[in-house]
Amino acid sequence: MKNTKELKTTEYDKKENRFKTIVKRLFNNKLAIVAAVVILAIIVIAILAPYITPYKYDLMDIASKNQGPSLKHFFGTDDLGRDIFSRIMYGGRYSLTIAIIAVLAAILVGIVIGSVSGFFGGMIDNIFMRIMDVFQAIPDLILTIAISAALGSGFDKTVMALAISRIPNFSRILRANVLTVRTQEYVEAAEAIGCSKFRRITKYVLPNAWTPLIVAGTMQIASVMLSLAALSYIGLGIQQPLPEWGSMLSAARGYIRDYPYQLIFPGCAIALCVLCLNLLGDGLRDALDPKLKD
Amino acid sequence: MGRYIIKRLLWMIPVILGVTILIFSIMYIVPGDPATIIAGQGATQQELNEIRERLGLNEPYLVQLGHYMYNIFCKFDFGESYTTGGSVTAELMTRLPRTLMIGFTAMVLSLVVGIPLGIIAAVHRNGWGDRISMIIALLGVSMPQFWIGLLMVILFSVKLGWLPAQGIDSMACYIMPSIALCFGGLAGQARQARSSMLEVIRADYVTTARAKGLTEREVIFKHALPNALMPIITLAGSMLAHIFGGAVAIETVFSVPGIGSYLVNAINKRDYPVIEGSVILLAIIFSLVMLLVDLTYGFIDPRIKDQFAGKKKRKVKERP
Repeated sequence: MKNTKELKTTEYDKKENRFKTIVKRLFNNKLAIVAAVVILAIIVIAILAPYITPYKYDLMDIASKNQGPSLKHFFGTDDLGRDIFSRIMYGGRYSLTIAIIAVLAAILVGIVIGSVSGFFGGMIDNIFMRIMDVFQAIPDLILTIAISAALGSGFDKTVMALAISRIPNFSRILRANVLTVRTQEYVEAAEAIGCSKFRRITKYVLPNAWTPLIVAGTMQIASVMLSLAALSYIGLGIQQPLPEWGSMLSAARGYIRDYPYQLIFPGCAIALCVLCLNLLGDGLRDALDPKLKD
Repeated sequence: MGRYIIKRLLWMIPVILGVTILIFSIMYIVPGDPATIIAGQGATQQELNEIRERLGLNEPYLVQLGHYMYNIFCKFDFGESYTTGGSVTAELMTRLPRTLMIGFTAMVLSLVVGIPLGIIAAVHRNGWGDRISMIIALLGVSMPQFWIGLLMVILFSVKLGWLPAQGIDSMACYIMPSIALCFGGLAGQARQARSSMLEVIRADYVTTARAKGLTEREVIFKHALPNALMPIITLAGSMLAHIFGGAVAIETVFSVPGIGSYLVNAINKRDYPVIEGSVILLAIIFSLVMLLVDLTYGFIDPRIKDQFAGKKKRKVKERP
């Protein structure tokens, strides 16, 4: 009895240590940490937006429309006299939230499809993977646009369109990992002591197969943000008066000759956010698997 | 090799059929009556009925799907536009060359610029070349392509007046859309080229090549690069998905009358046959290019060629 207990504690320590080394490696990567801080700051700003923005995002002031950047309006005002700085601060609420929810939803469905497909193999695997083939035969953004065109614009519909098009990515990654994990001895041992299939998947296979999804998820949030911006730009996604960054670009495109600053700032917000997500994703990948580092 | 090609070709058929069923079904479940879209809000009940009868909208789902697929794959007919009444196929065919022109120029640009950037980065690892290349690559994947396009319009059309901001009146009109569209792929290609070059450079045969006294140029281009090419080519295929996706927004930015802008206009007018046609055509082209990439892969990598070579040949090879 004593022996098993000891074994358990060392196992636990091992896990703890592994986690610690990963965190340590991540903290050694200064660029990734800076990126993480910037993303955190953008999230905090988005949450606190109603309290800290100088103006409300939909406050129109026709008298001061299309003003360039100044001390009163840091990023200037748009065609309806709304403060662009405030709108960008609010914008994170839509751009980031939609991207994060969409990716989480896609990961969730991807986990179900990937684990079932990889664990059971055979016919089930074949059917799921052939369906994924069909989805992946359509370029990501085109599929998103098609689904979004059918569903219409709006928060929940956009999330759905973005999530569906990313499911194949995650299910394939997970399936590949489940395939390697399921042949390990401990999974066979679990089968030998009579664990049900569901228990084997959730208790033994998934915890050992899901880590690559962290990196893929971070990278996908970045790519979904770009898709969302394009979606809003072509008139789907999130529409005015809501201050989503892509839709701000869409609204400003008519003023490209006279007031180009209206196009520059929202684009910078998107680029900064996506850049930091990519840097963080790179950092996470290196921390989780240093072998892969270049 | 022949078997590999045939297998790969045959596999394309169910995928394309699947794409057609998927897209048709997505558009089928959309709420809203196509007859009302065609006839307008003020149409009488009789007019609506006539339209429904003519387009077969009263038929059950499977019959409509069957008709649609029969028309596409046996007659190459994507139906007619709800708003203009014209043939979708004809319109797609006039627009396709423009989209392909932009898409393939962007693809060539991203390969021609991206791969050397990656090689420079790998060869001068941790040096200035590496840093600058990777900064370009990171910025490339992080900026929305259509935004790069907009910035280019501000700089080159509005401020400097060098290039036309929109249209396709001259070849000069294709310059900015292609460049704007190439950034995403360029960045991905540079990162991939760098990491696969780094992997190869450490290999023993590269050390051997150096030890033989070959010049650095010969080591890189004759020994390292050919072995690093495989992942780069694989990426080129998925890059095209990126480019086709990006083309939709880019064509809108530059008012290029290609398939992308056709699709966007159709979405705003809820012109479903056009949406279906554009998406399916883009998916078919994308699948064809992926096929091409896979085949090149087969030709370049002797292992894959061998895997699908005739059984006889393999047996001979396996003999010790």
